[in-house]
This record gives sequence, C-alpha cells and structure tokens, in this order.
Amino acid sequence: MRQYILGAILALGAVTPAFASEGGEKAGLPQLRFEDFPPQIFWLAVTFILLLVLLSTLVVPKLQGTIEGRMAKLDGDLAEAGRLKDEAAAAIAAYNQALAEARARANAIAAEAKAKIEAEAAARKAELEAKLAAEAKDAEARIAATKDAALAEVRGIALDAAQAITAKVAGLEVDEASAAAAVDAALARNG
Amino acid sequence: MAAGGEAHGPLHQFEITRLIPIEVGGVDLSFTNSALWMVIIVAVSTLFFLAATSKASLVPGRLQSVAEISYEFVANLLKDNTGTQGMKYFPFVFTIFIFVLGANMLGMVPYSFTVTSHLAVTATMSLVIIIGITVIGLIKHGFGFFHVFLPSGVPMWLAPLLIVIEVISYLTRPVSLSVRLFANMMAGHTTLKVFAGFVVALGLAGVVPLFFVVALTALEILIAFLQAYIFTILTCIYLNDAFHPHH
Repeated sequence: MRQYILGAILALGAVTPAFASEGGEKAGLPQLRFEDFPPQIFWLAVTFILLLVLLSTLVVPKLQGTIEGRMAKLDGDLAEAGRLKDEAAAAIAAYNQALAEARARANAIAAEAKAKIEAEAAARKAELEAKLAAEAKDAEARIAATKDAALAEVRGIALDAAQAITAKVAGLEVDEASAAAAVDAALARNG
Repeated sequence: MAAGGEAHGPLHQFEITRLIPIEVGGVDLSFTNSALWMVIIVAVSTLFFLAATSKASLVPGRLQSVAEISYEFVANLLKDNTGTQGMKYFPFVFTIFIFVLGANMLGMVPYSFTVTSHLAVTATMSLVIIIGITVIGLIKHGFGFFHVFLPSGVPMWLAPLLIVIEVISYLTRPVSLSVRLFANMMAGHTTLKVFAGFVVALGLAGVVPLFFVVALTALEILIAFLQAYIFTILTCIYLNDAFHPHH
C-alpha cells in the first residue's frame, strides 16, 4: 500500500507543478532537486562522523563496561552464593554429627549413672539384709537364752513346789537331790 | 505544519532551505534546515546517552535501561548476523541505528524536518555502507569475495545466468536500502500532511480525518522505529557477506 501512496505522490509531484507551486515553491519533488544534494551530503558526513566519534569514545565503552561489569558481578555473586550454600551444607552436616555424638555421649553417661545407682542400691540392700539377718540371729539367741533361763527358773520353782507339796501333803522331808532327780525325770517326761 | 497560517502543499515539508549559505571551491556546502536537524540529532542522541550513562549503576534506572537496551539490541543484531568478528564494526552500526532512529523520531516532531526523508541522505549512507562492505570483503578474502556472486554447488551451465542475477541483486542493494528508508519516511509524512489538510478543510466533519491523523501518527512512530531497525539489520546482513562470501 505504501508503494502505491509513494507512487501517487511521486506522480503528483512530478506531473502537476501547480500542486507544488501552491505555496510558492519550486516545481518537482524536493527530494529530486540535485542542487540540494551537495550540502546535504557534506553535512551528513560531518554530523555522522561527529556522532560516530562521540558515541564510540564516550558512550559505547561506558555502556559496554557497565553491562560487562554487571555480568561479572552477577557471575561472582552466583559463585559466592554457591560457595555459601556449600558452607551451610557443611555446617549442617557438622551440626548433625555433633548432635549425634552428644546424644551418644548422653546415652553413655545415663547408662553409666544407672549402672552405678543400681550397684549402689544392690550394695545397700545386701548390707541391710546382712544387718537384718544379724539382728534376727541376735534376737533368736536372746529368745533362746530367755527361754533357757525361764526353763531353769521353772525347774527351780518346780523343785521348791515339789519339796513343799511333799512336806505338806506327805509330811516327808525330801532332800534336795532326790527332789531334783524326780523333777528332772518329770520334766524329761513332759518335754 | 502550515507555518504562520500560509497554505503549503504536502511536499513543502521536504523543502531544503539554506540557513547559512556557504560555498567552498564552487561547491554549495550551505548550512541548510536539513543540516540543522542533523546537528540536532547528534546533540540530542549524544546528550541522551551521556545523561543515561552518567551514573552507570548496577541496577539501571529508566534512562540507563533504554541506553542499555539499545546497545544490546544493536549488539545482538550484529552478533546474530555476522558472529563475533562483526563486533569490530559495532560503533559504526550502532551510530547508523542511532542516527537513523534519531532522524526518523525527531522527524515526527511537528514543524521539524525529517533528514531521512531525503534521497541524498539515505543514498549517501547506503552507498558508503555497500562500498565499505565490498572493500572489507575484498581486503579479507581477495578474489574469494566474488564467491558472493556464485553460490557453491551450482552447476556450471547455470553460472553465467546466476552470476548476472547475483551481480544485479548486489548492485540494487544500495538502491533498495536507500529508497526503502526515504520512501517510507516521505510517504508517511506526506500522508499525514494530506490528512491534516482535510481536518481543516472539512470543518466539523474534520473529526474523521483527525482520527486518522492520530492513528497514522502512532503508525508513523512505529514505522520510524521499524525503518531504523530494517536499515540496521540489512547493514548487518550485508556485512556478513564481507565475512562469509560463500553462502
């Protein structure tokens, strides 16, 4: 479509001078006036070379430096982040290991303490048992002694009572030896 | 566009007026309105880039982003089309892009002059580009550069025909490169002017062409960028021939 518009314009500009001279202008397309070419070409060369020099000395190196610097910074930051990540992973591993070690040590200490306490308890129990056994033995001995004493007293009382009863009932004066023999025989019989 | 209420034709905006007449050795080197706008292009683009790169912060601001995007845009164009060896010519290609873009964009300012709407400017640039590329190719490859006119693997009986076609295609490059840019700029600006004339002529009904002018202005801004892009990418593609004539 553009080509047709341009074609129409070119035709208008070339064919109808009235169209162009409407505003008091020279006839024909301004673009095809060859006397206007040298100043345009000269100033194009001047300004283009000026722009080329300005851009290539002031602008391009700076833009390039900024963009490359950013690339380098990003790469450096990424490498640093990777390094820190590795460090963090190593720290976590070390922490986990330390934790496992501490747990193992705690378990060992607990087991040791338990064993010690159990041993102490067992020792105290044995001591107590021994003491109780000794006391029980003492008590038994005392009971036996008391029993013997009591039994001996019973013999004496029986002897006296036998002598007295014999004297009262039979009027017989029994000497102590025969009375004692009789009591002993009676005790032995009765257990 | 109709300055001072005078009625001007749609082509008046392309008139070259001599602001400071200069003549050196019988050659007319006058400082014209075209030259004035070329100087403005250089000043505006240089000031823009100086302002944009003055801080050069790690996280770019708006201006710096635009400057970096334009740099990377041209750098990628050049790298994609010619490989890393073409990067040597980056400042030149970058200047072409900025100059053409600046000319096209500043041409959109009302009452301004569009430098690239003139055949003299676009033809000079195209010829310099094509001749420069040919010289680079000849220096780099010697006679091997003429492989550009004969693709490898072509049967010998086709060669005479193909060489003629390729030579014509090569010779029309500067023509197509220059005419495309100047014609697009000229056609767009003329159309705008014609429609703008209708706005006044039609009175109240001029709202309709006014709408068209607004739409066309947006389109013209797109085309201003697009033509700068096309001019630059074709420069890169032609430059590639200088590096790799065996296609």
